Amino acid sequence: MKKEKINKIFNILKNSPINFASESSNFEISGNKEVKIEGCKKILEFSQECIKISVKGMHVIFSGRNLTIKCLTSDSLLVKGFIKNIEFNT
Amino acid sequence: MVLKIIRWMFGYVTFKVDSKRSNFFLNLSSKFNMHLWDISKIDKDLVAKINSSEFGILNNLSRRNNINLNIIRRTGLPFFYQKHEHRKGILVGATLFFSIIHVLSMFIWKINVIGNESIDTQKIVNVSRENGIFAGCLRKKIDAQIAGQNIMEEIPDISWISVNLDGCVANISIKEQVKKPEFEQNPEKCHIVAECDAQIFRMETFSGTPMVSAGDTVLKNQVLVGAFDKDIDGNLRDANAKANVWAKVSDTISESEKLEKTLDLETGNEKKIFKINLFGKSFSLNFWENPEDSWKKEIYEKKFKIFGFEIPLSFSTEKFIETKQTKVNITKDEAFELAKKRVYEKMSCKNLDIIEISESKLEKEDEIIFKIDFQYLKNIAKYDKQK
Repeated sequence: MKKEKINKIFNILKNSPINFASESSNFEISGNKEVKIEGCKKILEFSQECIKISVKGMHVIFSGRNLTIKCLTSDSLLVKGFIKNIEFNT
Repeated sequence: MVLKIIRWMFGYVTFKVDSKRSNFFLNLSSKFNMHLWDISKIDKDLVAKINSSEFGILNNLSRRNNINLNIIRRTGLPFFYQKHEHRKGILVGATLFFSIIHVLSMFIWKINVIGNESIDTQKIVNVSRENGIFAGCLRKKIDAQIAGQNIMEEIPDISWISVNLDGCVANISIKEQVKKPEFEQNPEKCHIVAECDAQIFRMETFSGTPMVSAGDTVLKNQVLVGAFDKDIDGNLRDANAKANVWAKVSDTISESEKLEKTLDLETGNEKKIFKINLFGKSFSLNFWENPEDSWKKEIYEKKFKIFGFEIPLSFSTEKFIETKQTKVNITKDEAFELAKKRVYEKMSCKNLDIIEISESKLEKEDEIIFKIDFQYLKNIAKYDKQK
């Protein structure tokens, strides 16, 4: 009975618009000026023209001009600058 | 903005890291949950900011991994305090500054009256002063709602009032009552008679039968409009006479001016008393008492303003001038001009619709008499009960 209830709650959370149970990383892009990344594992490369990060199962490359990391925490970062290109390498 | 202020309050350090191991440094700080911000590459060096409390931990961590952190700048309140700790004056000054700002913001500095047209602003300000709202009163002592109700009770011409305290300004917004038009109450049947002797100029009859016409000369109490009407068959019936009867009325004003006059002439002696008025109370800067009543008094007041904002502080000068009664002889022309001036001042006070005017002058041994005869238009209609 208890297990059924837990499964029910888990299913609701899984199908909800806010993906609580998601294991993959989240990207929130505001125009071409700002990207918020949740679920970042590692920063592989960082320069004004290119930021390369490792997320679950792939590498993501942001290229552009005057790129900076506005904020950095243990699993998320906020990239700001003039973003020209976002590349996903799996 | 709030985040910036919080960061400034706690203090932060701007530092740079060698380019060779910058990526490793970023991953290291991320792994140990160090909160970095504004991370950028400047001249191949990595520049970032961190809270002053976390910088020590990050520095130790970096040293153990052979990474050198070079401090560029320390910013924030703790560092400012550290730098100026020995300068007690700044601390005292800053404390004093904020205390003064706090104390002054506890008072009302200005009263704004909005929305009055016929009611005098000064009257509203005076009544609000009686009810506890004045420049210099404590904000917390004001009960806006009760004060508003009391003001409205004391000035019945106000139909709505709102007292709002906006910082150090008390805004008194009012709406004036729209007075109901006054109708002339004339319930009984009345003739209209002449108020004075005159010559009819124009008649506006609304009801009743006119007994005179334009150009006629009438005497006082003569019936001008009868309180009856004629119907189609020529029968008379009672009616309430209503009319405006404009007539030419003659009048005279004369003034005499003596050639020998007694005037209060200034002797040249002056005394000045300086006063400072603060929050409605005045403080004298001189120690001598006010001179006798025979001295003429003139008051000059200078109000102080900061950025166009009137503050309850003013500087006033009371100038006392000694006068002495002296007999003076004036010329006939001067006497004539003085008399003429007085006559025309009297006439302008009456606010009449003048049609015709003639001047005359009479010279006596010791005085000059100036006289004007004039005609003006006047509504001479007066209600008179039927007998």
